[in-house]
Amino acid sequence: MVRSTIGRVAVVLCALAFSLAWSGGASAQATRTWVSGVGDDANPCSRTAPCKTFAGAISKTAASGTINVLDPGGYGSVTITKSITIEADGDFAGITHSGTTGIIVNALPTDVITLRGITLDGFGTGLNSIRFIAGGTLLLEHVDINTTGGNGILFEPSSASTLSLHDVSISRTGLVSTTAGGVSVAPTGTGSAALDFDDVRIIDARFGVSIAGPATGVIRDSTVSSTGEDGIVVNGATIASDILLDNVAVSDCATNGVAAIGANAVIRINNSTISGSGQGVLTSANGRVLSFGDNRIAGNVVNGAPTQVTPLQ
Amino acid sequence: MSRRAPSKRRALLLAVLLSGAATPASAQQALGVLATTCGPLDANRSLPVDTTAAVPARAVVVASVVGNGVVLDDLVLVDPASASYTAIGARRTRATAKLGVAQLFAPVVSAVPAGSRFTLRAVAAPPGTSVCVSLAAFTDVAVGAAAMQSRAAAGGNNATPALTGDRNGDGTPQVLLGSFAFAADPSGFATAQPGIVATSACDAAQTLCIGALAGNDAGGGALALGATLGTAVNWSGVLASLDRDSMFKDGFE
Repeated sequence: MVRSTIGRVAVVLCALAFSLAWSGGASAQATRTWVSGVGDDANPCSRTAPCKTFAGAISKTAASGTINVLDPGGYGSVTITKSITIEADGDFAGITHSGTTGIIVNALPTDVITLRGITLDGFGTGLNSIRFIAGGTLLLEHVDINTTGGNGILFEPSSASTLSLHDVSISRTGLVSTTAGGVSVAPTGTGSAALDFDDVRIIDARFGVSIAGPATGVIRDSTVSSTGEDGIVVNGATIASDILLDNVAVSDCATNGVAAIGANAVIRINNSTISGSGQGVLTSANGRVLSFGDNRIAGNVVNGAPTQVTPLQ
Repeated sequence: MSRRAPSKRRALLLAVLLSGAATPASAQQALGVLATTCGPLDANRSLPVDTTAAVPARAVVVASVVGNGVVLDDLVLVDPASASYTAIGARRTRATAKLGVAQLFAPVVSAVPAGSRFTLRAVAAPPGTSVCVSLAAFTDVAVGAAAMQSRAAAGGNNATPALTGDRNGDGTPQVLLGSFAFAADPSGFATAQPGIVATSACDAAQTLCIGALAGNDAGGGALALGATLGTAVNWSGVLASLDRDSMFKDGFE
């Protein structure tokens, strides 16, 4: 009798332990999850039971994991606090963020965040489409950003961070905020920015690229056009920034095509075209625009001139 | 061509205002409008501008230029002293009123007598294109890469065109220079602040007008210039704030 009771208790305990173990396994974060326009955030975000939103999927995705988009759809705003890849390969993956921010990145200084194949639309009233507050690296590939009241990308890291853009289109940004435009780089505190822009197209923004704060990097094979203010401006009154423009076309900017303002602002221009703007090159308060002597600065109301020509080496 | 080409009497009055009464705080500084005129570019894409006042040696000439924002490109200003003019600021709009406006400045090494001819060239603009030019001379303005403390560019359609610099003053004496393009007669073009001088002119069709303002500031607040008009008009403008040259001198020169 006693042995029988002990046996029954053991069976119950085993069943309970198995049950707990099973439920624990079900709530563990997966390294790869999926979202679908017909998914449900109550699902485990598996291939056959996908989630509905990025916000729903990210909580079920392990750090350094990947969220895949299964089919075209709108997947909502998301806040990212860890290394993650959100990837839509060949499918439209939209984030409509009217009245709010599209993607907020607030991660650790070692985290790498990759966004691939995403389209963000602020519908005119959105805040920043992408706001980077903290993290290691933000990599954007094949991303479209358009029609928002704030910045297309506001990059304001609080540590040494990298912003890498490849095949990124930004249009109609800064529609509401008078201090917003295409890409705004403004590190905070002890933060600094390393920039690597390649094949970036910014059109019809309040400004194209604004850099204010410790920043170095290169913008290559890119275009900035039809801005309501400056095309590319570096503000460096007290903090140094040094940016290289390589094969960049800046055109039809209402004020300055390229502007270096402040004694610590340096813009180097190589094989680039600055045309159709109010003033092609502006240097102010000892800012410097250094040319490699192979640029085309013409067709602006006043062309301006680089502060120095450095021979090609 | 110039609807408001200054008469001798008016020029004298303006010179008096600019050289002394408008800037009582600084005996060294003298401001003077040399010419304000509008007209079509000739076959060489040039507009001659004859001055009505002399420019002393080592003065700084500031040119305001306005025109069609679509074709007003590659501006070059040539003067009898062969000074090399540097762009201070410019703005262009291709929509609606299509206004382009630019500021250039240069130190003039040798004196230029009244009646001298300056020539504006708009290299890419078609002959016949209407442009307006205003020239002013300043004897206490610093030039060079560090001279500009603040800048602004803006536009609108109202009766109160105004420009506020991107940085506040730091308490050092500044000369504020504002250049405006208007799509119609800025009737009653007058300064919104005391102690600031203004000049304006329109082309024959009254569809392109220029306004130039100059003023002083030595405070720590916003560096701004503004004007009041009789009626709302499309405008586009640029502002530059330049150090006064005398702040770099110690009295032993």
